[in-house]
Amino acid sequence: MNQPNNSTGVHATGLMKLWPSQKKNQQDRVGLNNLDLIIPAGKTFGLVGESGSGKSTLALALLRLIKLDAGEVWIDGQAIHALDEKGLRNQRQHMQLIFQNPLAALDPRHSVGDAILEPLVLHNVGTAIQRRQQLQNLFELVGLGRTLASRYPHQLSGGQQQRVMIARALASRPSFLIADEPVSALDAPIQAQILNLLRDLQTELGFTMLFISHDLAVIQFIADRIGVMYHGQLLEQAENNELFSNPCHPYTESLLTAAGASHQSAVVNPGKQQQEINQGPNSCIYAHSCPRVMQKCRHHEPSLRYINKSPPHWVKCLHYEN
Amino acid sequence: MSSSLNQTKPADPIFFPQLGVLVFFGLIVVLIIMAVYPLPDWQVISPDRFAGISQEHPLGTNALGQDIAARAAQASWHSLRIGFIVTICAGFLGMLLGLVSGWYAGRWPDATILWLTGVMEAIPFYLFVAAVAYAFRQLSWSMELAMVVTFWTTMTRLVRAEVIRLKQRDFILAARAIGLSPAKTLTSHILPNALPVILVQFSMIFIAAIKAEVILSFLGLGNSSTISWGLMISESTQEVIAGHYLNFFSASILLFMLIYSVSLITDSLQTRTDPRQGVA
Amino acid sequence: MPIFIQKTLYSLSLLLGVTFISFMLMVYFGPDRSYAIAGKNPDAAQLEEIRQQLGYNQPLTSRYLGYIKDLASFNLGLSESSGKPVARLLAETIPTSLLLLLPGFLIGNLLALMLAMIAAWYKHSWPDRLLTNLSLLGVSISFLIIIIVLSTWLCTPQGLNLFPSRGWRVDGLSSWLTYATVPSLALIFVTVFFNLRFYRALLLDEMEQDYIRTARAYGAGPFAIMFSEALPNTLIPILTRLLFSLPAILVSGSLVLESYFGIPGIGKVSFDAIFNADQPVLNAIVSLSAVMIVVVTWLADFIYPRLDPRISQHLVVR
Ligand code: SF4
Repeated sequence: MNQPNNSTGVHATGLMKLWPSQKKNQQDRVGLNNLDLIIPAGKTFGLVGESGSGKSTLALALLRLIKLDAGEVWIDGQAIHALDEKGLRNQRQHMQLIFQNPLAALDPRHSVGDAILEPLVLHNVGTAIQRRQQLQNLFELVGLGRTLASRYPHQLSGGQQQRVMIARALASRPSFLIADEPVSALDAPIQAQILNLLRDLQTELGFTMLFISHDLAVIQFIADRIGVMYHGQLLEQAENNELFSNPCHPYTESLLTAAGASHQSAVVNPGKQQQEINQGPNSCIYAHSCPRVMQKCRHHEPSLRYINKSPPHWVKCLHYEN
Repeated sequence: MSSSLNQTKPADPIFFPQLGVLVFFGLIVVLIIMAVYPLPDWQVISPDRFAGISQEHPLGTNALGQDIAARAAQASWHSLRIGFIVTICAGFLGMLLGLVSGWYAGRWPDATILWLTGVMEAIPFYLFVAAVAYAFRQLSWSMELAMVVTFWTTMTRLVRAEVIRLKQRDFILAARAIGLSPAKTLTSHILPNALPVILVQFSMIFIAAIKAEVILSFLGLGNSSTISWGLMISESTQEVIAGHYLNFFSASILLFMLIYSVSLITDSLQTRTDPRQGVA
Repeated sequence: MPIFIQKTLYSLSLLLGVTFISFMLMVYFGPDRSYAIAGKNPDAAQLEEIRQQLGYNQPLTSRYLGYIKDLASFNLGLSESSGKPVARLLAETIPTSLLLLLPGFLIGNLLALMLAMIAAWYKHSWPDRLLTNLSLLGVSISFLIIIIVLSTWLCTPQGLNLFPSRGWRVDGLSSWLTYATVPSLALIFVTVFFNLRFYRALLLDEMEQDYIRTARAYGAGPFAIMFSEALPNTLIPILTRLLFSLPAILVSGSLVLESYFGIPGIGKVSFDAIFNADQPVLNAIVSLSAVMIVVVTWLADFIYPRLDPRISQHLVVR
């Protein structure tokens, strides 16, 4: 990949993560498998994949909330992988995370006002008075009533809790935000509200966002660019429209057909995949259930390559390699 | 079944949860009255042996003619003092070690602390106290020292388990995600959430210390320069045979009031913060 | 097998720690025996010679190693106050203590279990609440007070005067009843209230299980459910608890009971040893009870690792 030193946006190369197995004589589980990712500054990257495909691992790895086995992460020209503990903690105000379950991610013993102000207090942003003003602004920003500040998380509704989480994440004005399944724990009408809120906030504040979901409809609604994740790898990356109009990878195709078949919600169906991958070390990871599998797929590993420069479109499949 | 979701909370199993607070305040009032009432010095020996209840001796006198009320008051303060010292020292020591152990679960600080806990728990308490009392016989507080050194272990285990449980919660990850250091995460997120368990254990240590002090002084292993409930009870074993009960009842009723009230308060604290009761 | 070895090694390391602490307290900082041996007005040279013999001049590590060697080879030495070999002293007194304590301990636990069943069956209604309140009351009464009240009531002319107030001349059931009844009653009282709530909680947990709910829904009676369903499933934690409280009862319980009632058991021996600073005896008792506790933990770890976080966590070797 290119020199990311003074570029903006998020650049990650060669991310590797093996989760050590709990039991003995069981294979380590693959979290990330030599994964590359670029998110242009100010854009939303929608990451879609089945549960267990490594989406959350990727989120945690980009923020260095877990230890990577290998790989580099650059955010707005800052080499995250090279920071020391202190530098990393300091950097955290610029990269933030929203969780799937806001109730679990908020300390039950802190009022929501305190929760939102915590990052500002920690990073010494402004004076106490300025911070109180800031709190007011943040409540307005995420559409919460100011009076809720002294409440405790369990006293709020799920939608309100997620708004608090968003306000907390945005309090320190991060340039990069990861939203890990931020709406999947919410009721459908609330989902739409939160999605709209996130999209509006991004337009207003201009941060770069990685949006993770297993729901294709949600991804289609919010993402500029989409990546399809499978077993620790990105199999296809393309602009939103391009991916839905011209899916190239066999896995993406099957996702879209599955979603099309069930009209209601285009939820990625946790298929039979996983574990029992018993082909050789140099094979396509999807070969065991690929409908278009070829003989060479079992002993050649495809690499992610451009099939189209504009709009950009990458695919990791031997059908597109020559 | 929706009915099971709307189950009403079962009644508090204790008949009068407020009784604990009531008894505790009763005890304090008794102690205050004893403090302001013009009693003779607790050490003064008088020829007035085994006196009954009178204006001068509200609880009578013992075999040496010493005023029982004065001795009971002195003994109560002594017990309370030991209770608090041991509770605070052992409680904080146990809490600190539990926090460290839980935070570094599975690594060497944890292994070391667990090992130490295991060692301390394998030593029979009363013999240990006797040995400490002997080894540090120059010190007047060797009994307190021995209790502190042995009473921290349960606190450590409980806090460790609590920290390990809390560490896996998302809000701890969220704290790390905003850049909180481990030390601050412990003090501002883990500690407050572990507080119910810690408070209950503090009062458990208090009860254990009071009980142990009584038994140790009864056995003659306590601090003999002052009077204590255990010593009073020990004196009274001879007196009750002769039919003089005032000394025995004074000490044992005060002892009972203290332990019962603290147990009741602890119990309602525990019921209220028990996750299975759906609160907290 | 590796886990087995790991845990055994860990248990050994615990023993090493315990012996080190008891060595430091009782030997290193313990009584200096040279004066006692030298007799009155020794001169410096005599003292020095005795100290040499006792090994007081050797470095700490070699003294500690010697101490461990003596323990491991069961070379417990002679009691200083009575001159008897410590091993024989223990062999004579431990059976007495067991005879004194075990029946009360077992009856108390059985009774606690019975009452816990009643409480668990009538969950949250009056029998349960009554028992819960009683047990809180019961654990708040000091063991000493129970002993004194019982013995005053049953053993003195002030009360019923049915039993001797002190002593132990046991050679059969009737003499056992004569001397052991009152101490056992005190022990039963404490054991019942100490265990009642634990057993109740255990049984309640089990009664929440689906299969018991089903059995109840089909109309199975209290006896059928308690004895054939709930009890067998809680047996292991109950046994573990029994095992764990045994060393404490044997050492601490006997200390109070035997010194009060003048019974020549292990508790009386340790009581006397404490006051005579009889170091070899104290040493032996501390080390043996520590071995007992470590062995019990080691056993329990294999029987039932998940009884209670306090128990299960502490032997997980990583
Ligand atoms: S490389 Fe082969 S197996 Fe892999 S996705 Fe393409 S066609 Fe399927």
